[in-house]
Amino acid sequence: MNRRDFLVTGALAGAALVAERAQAQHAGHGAQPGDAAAPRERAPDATRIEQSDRSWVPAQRPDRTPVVPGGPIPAHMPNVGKLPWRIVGGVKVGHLVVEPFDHEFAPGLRARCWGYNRSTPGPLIEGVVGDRVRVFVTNRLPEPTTIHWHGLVLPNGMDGVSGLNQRPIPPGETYKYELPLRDAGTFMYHSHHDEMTQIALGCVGMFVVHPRRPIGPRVDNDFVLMTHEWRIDPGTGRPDPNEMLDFNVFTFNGKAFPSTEPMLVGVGERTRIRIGNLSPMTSHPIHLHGHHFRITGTDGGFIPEGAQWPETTTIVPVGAVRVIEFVSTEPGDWAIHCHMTHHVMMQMGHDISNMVGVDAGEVDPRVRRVIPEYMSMGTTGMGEMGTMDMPLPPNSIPMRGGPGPFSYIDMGGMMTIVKVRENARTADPAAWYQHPRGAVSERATAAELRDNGIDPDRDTRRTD
Amino acid sequence: MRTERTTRIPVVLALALAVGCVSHSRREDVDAVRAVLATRTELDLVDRDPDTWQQEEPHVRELLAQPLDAERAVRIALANNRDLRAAMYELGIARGALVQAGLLPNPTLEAEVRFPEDQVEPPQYDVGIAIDITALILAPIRAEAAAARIDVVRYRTAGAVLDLAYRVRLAFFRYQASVQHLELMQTAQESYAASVTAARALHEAGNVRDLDVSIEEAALEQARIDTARAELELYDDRERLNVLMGLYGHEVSWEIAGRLADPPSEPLVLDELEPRAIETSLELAWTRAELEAIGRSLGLARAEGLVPDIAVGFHAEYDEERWEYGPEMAITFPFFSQGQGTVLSREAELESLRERYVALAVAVRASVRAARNRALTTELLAHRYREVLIPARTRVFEQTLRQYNAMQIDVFRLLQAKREQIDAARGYIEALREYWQARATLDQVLAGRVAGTIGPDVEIEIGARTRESGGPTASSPH
Repeated sequence: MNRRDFLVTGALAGAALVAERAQAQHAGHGAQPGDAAAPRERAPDATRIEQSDRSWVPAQRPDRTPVVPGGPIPAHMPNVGKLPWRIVGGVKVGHLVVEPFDHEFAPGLRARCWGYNRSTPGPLIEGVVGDRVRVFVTNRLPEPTTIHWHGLVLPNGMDGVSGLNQRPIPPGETYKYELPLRDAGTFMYHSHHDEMTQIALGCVGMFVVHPRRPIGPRVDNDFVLMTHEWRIDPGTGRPDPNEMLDFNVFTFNGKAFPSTEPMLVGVGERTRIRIGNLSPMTSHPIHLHGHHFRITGTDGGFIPEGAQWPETTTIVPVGAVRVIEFVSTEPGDWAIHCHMTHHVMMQMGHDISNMVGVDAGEVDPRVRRVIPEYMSMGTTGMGEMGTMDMPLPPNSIPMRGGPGPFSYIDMGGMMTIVKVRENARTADPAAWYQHPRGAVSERATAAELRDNGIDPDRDTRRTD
Repeated sequence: MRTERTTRIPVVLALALAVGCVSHSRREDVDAVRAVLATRTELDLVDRDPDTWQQEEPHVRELLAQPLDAERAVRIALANNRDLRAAMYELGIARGALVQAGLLPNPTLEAEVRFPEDQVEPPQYDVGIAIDITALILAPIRAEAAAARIDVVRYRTAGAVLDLAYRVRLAFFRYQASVQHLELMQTAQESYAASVTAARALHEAGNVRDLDVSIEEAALEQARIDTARAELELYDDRERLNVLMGLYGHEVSWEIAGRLADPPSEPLVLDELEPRAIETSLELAWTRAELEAIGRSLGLARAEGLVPDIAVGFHAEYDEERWEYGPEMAITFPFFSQGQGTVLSREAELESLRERYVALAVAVRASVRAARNRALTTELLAHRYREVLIPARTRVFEQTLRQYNAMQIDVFRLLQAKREQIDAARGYIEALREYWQARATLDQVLAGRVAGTIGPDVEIEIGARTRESGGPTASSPH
């Protein structure tokens, strides 16, 4: 529904006069009746996602060269790069710069975050058991920091707890960490100095250590997702680290749908997704459509096959990793998302009246006598809120979802898509699945209703 | 001084002799008032024959046919206000006193017949005519003293004209503000009504509690009461104007033109104010005239005390069947009473008034400074409202609307923001009223009338005012 059209056709004239009366006085110099209404310009272009626009879909093809000859394939972290290594005397040397930077969560929403190498989460650190890794950390934050290597078993002086294991890294200085990679697994890294601020602003990342030979069945795809939650009020440009409960932006790998890079896999392929959660406060039940998966590991290690159990949703607690594996059988576009409903809602305000079921026809004419631009929202539900075209606070994408092949997808936030294709290696990662004829739910015809004995107008009150 | 007095004597004498030209002189007095006003203000005192004051002024109906602005209201009041006319008649009272003072003493005729007991004797006749020479000599001095009184009354009458115009302006700006204030109150009330409608609709949908609806309903009722009060105030302000313009009957259905204007973008330039105020001050002018009048009556009292009462006449007596005649004179010697008491009183009166004159000058200076301060401050205030606060509140509302669009706040908060915007507009109206009233006060002081109390209490009093009070604060129009 286009709100502007609604307003134009709505009885505006009389209502405008009243507000005009109030505003003409302070407008001071010859206010025209039209001026009295607040500007009703278009929403910023970046927040308007057209059905046909696919430029937001980041399309990358994972590198499948084994990490060591005969070893597993490398992991791929959608939307996020990898920490490059320089080999110095047989040691893998990397450099993390922790600093403030401008991060885009989705078109129309940017914020000043803190992170590693201008990325949140930071670059994927990837190694192989037996590697010696040396990571230099340069602090460009306005306060000290450290890095804790979450889940790695290390010499105590490398564990990174500020004050306990080391002196904090002062702003402007570079410290080095020597990390012997003893165990394969999925780990994380994050600031361990003023975590409340630094994690809330984005100082987190994933750390994958591959075994030299695959443990368990060899996988064809190995993805890494990191969940996070933020408080970014519409109109502001910096996550609020003071928030404890009411988060309003939820991300996979720092991106909110529709900016999450889809995961393209082949029919019959085995896929691993390593899901880490360094949200400040909340666990996330991650649900995958169209598949049964098994939880094959945590940041503590691998789960023996006999102990794995089938699931479609796994809760990933704060500060934990769940590794899931599945084999795709059904081609199509399958959603994977946090099952907490507010976590797939962008920048929703929670301190507002419940408008569901309210008669807008009664309320709106009355309010428009004072505020001509007014329109009740959410009276029939909120699914279409994100498609409305009206003036919004700058730098905000409240209630926004993204485009879909059939219609607008009203989920935003912590949601992405597993795209299962017959020809995964050549398919367009940005393209939608083309369904076979008759394999999409559509409107039942009158004949079908009749033949199946369905009466849409049936009285649904219990009669027994 | 002496020469002036001597040259005036024949004029006064001529005046005194010109019996029967009272109405002509009244016009002269009105013209004199008009001349006093012309040097001080652009006020137009309608040029009418004082003898037809009682009749209806056709000009007023013409003015009432169009929507009123402040200056049109002033013109109606000057033509139509009965208190002002009463003040104008006081010119006639002073004029009468002057004429009376200049009249010559009447001669006294004395006739007497006496019948002797002896019937044979014829009756005796006495005839005498006498005139009070002292009164005759003093008449010009009395007339001069009375003439000085006329100046006092002329200045006071000019002051009454200025006062009326000033009070009309104050009342007009106040009424204008009340009209706009009421409009804004009604809009605010609309917003409360919208809140109630929304709350009831939400309640109907099962989404809010009885309590939430009651809270909104109570707020609306309060708003209704506030609006009713504003309406009452508007009616009062209108009646104040009706009294000042002297309107009644079908004439009271006038309308006003336009709204309170924004202050001019050019800032006020105010200097050399104190000399101007002193120069034009009517209070000072009439106090000077009063000093003159008292000085004259002091001189009169001294003369009366020292000059013996002399009456001269002619006497004729018919006695023994023949007339005897000759002049006659009676003298009262100022032996015991030389009018010392009266002279003492007059002297004290003169000194007292001299002190009052200085006090008045001090008050005039303070009054013009206070008026200047108020004008400048209220100008600044109005500018701050228009240039800063109103745009800021408007931005707040616009941003609030965006937050509403973003579903961060609900309709109740949105309406609240609208009310805050309206509150700022109300503040601006108040500031505008203060500004235009302050400008009127400043103009009034510069036109020669101590106006305005030192402070924000701008109460407009209506109805008849006493003419006798000469003190600056007592006669100020507030």
